[in-house]
Amino acid sequence: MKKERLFGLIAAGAAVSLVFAGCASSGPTQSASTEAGSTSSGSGNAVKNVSLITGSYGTPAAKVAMDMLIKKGEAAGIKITLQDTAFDYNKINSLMQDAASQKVDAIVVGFTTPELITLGTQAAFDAKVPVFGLDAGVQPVDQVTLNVTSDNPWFGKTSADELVRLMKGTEMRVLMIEHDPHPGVKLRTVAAREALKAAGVNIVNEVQIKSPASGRQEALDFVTNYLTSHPKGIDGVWAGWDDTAMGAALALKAAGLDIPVTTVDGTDEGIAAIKSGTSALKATCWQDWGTITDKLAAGMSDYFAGKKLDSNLIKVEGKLVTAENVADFSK
Amino acid sequence: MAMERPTEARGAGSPPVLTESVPNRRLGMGRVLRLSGTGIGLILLIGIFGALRPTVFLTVGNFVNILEQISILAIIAAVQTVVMVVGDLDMSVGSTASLGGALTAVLLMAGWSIPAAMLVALFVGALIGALNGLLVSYVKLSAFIATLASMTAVTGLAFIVTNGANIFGFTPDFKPLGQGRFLSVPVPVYIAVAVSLLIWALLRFTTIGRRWRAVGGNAEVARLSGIRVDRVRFIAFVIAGLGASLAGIILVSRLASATAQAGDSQMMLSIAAVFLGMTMSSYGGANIGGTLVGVAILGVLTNGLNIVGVNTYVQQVLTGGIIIAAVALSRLGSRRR
Repeated sequence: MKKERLFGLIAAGAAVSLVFAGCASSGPTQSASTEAGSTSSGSGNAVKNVSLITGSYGTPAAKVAMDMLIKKGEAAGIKITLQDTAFDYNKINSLMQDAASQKVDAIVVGFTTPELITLGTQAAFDAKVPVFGLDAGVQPVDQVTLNVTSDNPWFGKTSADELVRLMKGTEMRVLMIEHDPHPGVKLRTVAAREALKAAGVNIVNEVQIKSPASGRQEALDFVTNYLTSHPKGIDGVWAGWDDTAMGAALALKAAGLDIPVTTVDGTDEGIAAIKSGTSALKATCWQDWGTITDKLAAGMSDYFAGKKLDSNLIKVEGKLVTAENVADFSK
Repeated sequence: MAMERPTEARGAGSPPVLTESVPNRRLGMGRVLRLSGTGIGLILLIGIFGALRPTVFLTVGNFVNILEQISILAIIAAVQTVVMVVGDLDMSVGSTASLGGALTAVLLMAGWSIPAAMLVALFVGALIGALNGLLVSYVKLSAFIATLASMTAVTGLAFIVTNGANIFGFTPDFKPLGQGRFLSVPVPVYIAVAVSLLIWALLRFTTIGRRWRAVGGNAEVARLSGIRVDRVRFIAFVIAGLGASLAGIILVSRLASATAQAGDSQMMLSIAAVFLGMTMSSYGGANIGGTLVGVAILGVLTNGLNIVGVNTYVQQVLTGGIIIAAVALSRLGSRRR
C-alpha cells in the first residue's frame, strides 16, 4: 500500500511539473499579482505597470478588445497585466482594492458599470491610483480618469431599429434574449426595448440567459421550446450578443423558419453567419474595438506624460453590419 | 424484521464479492410508493404541464425536443453515476466536457480528420479521469477536493486550447453528430441511449460492475474480500472522463462552435440527476435507471416551465426546490424504517 501511495505521489508530482513546464506563454498573462510602481525599460523610459481587471475575458468580443489594449499598451511602454474574475463582477472590487494597495501606476476596469465598482474606485481614489475604463459604462464618473466605451445604448437602439425594418409587413412580435448581470448587455437591452416599443413592436417574451458560458445552448433550447409552444408566434428575435443570437439562429434554422435575428457584437462568427446568407442572423452591430483601444491607450499615455485630458468619457459608436455591407467587415 | 447474513456472489473467474446485506421485507405499498416516488413525480410533472398546455406539451415533437435537450446531460449523468456508485463524486465532468469539445474543435480547424480529432479528445478525457483516479485512489485525496481542483485546472486548459475565443467554421461533415436525425430522432439521443445501456450493462452484468457496487457498498469489506479497491475506483474515474469528453464533442457539434466553458453547467445538473435517481433505489445508492429518471425530470421541468412562460430565475428556484423536496422526502422515508 505504501509503495502504491508513493508511486501515486511521484506520478502526480511529475504530471504537475509537466503542466507547469508546458505553461510557458508569450501571450497576455492572467496573474493574480501585479507589479507595483514603474520599472525601467531598456531605453531608460519608465515602464508603467497597469492592472487590467475584468469579469468578461471569457466573452469573445471583450477578449478581442482587451488583447488589443494589452498590445497597444506594450507599444506605448505600458505593461498591462490582466486579471479576470470569470464573470464575477463583485470580485472586481476586491482586485481593485488589491491593486490600489500595491500602488500600481493605474487600474483599467474592463466591461463594468460605475455602480458595480464603487468600492474599488473609492479605494483607488484614496490611494491616488488613477482608474481608466474600457467599456465601463456610459455616464461620466468623477473618480474615473478616462473611460472609453462602446456606446451600448446606440448599439441596442440600432440593432432594434434594424430588426423593425426587417420585420416590416409582419405582426412585429419579438422575442428578446438578455443577460442583465452583464452591464454592457443590460445597457443595450434597455435601449433596444425602448426602441422596439416606440416602433409599436409586441415583445412577446424576454428571456434571461443564466450564464454567458452556456448562452448559446440556453438560447437554442429556449427558442426551440418557445417555437414548440408558439409555432408561428414570433416575427423576430433580438439577442444581447452574438453568441446567443447564433443559438437562436440555430433553433430557427432547425424549425425551418425564415425569421430575422439581430444582435450586437460583430464577432467574426456573427459576421461570417451574415455573410453566408443562410443563417437567420441578419444583422449585428460591430464594435469598433480598434478605435476604442487606440483612444484609451493614447489617453493613458497622455495622462502619464502629465497632459490634461479633455474629457473623462469618450463614447464610440460602431457600425451596423448587414448583408449589404458585410463584405467590408469580412477578413 | 429479519436481517439476512451477508451473502457471497461469485462471477466466473472472479473473487467472491460480498453483497450488501439488505433487510428481508415484504414490498409493501408504502415502500413501493417511496421507491417509485421520483418516477411518480416525473409522471406528475408531465401530467401538470400536459394539463396546462395539452396541445403543446403533450406532442411527439415536444418530447423529441426534450430528449434532444437532455441527451448530453444524460451521457454526463450516466458516467457520473459510475463514480457515485463507487461512493465518490466527480466535479470535473463539466469542464472535461468543455475541454473535450474545445480540443476537437481546434483540431478540426487545424485540418485533422473527424475520427482523429475525436480520438484525441476522448483520450485526453480519459487522461483527466485517470488523473482524478490517481489522486483519489492512490494519493488518497477526497474525491470532492481532487476533482474540484482538476475542474479548475481543466477549465484553464480549455481556455488555453481555445485562447479564450469561440471556435467555429468546422467541416460540414461534423454537423450530423450533433444536429443530424435518424428516423426523425436526433442523433445525440441515440448516443445517449447507447451510453446509458452500456453503463447499465457494465454495472449489471460485468465483474467490474459488481466490484464497483461492492466498493460503493462497503469499501473495507470489498477490500477484505480481495477486490483491489484502488484500481476499481481508478477505472470508474477514467470512465467518467471518457464519457464527459464524448458529451463535449457532441455538444460542440450541436452548437456548431466551441468555447472554453460550454459544458461547465452540466456538472451540477449531473450530480442533481444522480441524487434524484438515488431516491429510487432500495438502498439509496446511485443507479443508472434512477439517474435517467432524474435527467428526465430536469429536462421536463426546464421544457415545461419554458412552455408555460415562467421566468428563467424563477425556474432556477423551482428546480432547486423540487430537487431538495425529492431527496428530502426520500431521506425522511428511509429514516422511518
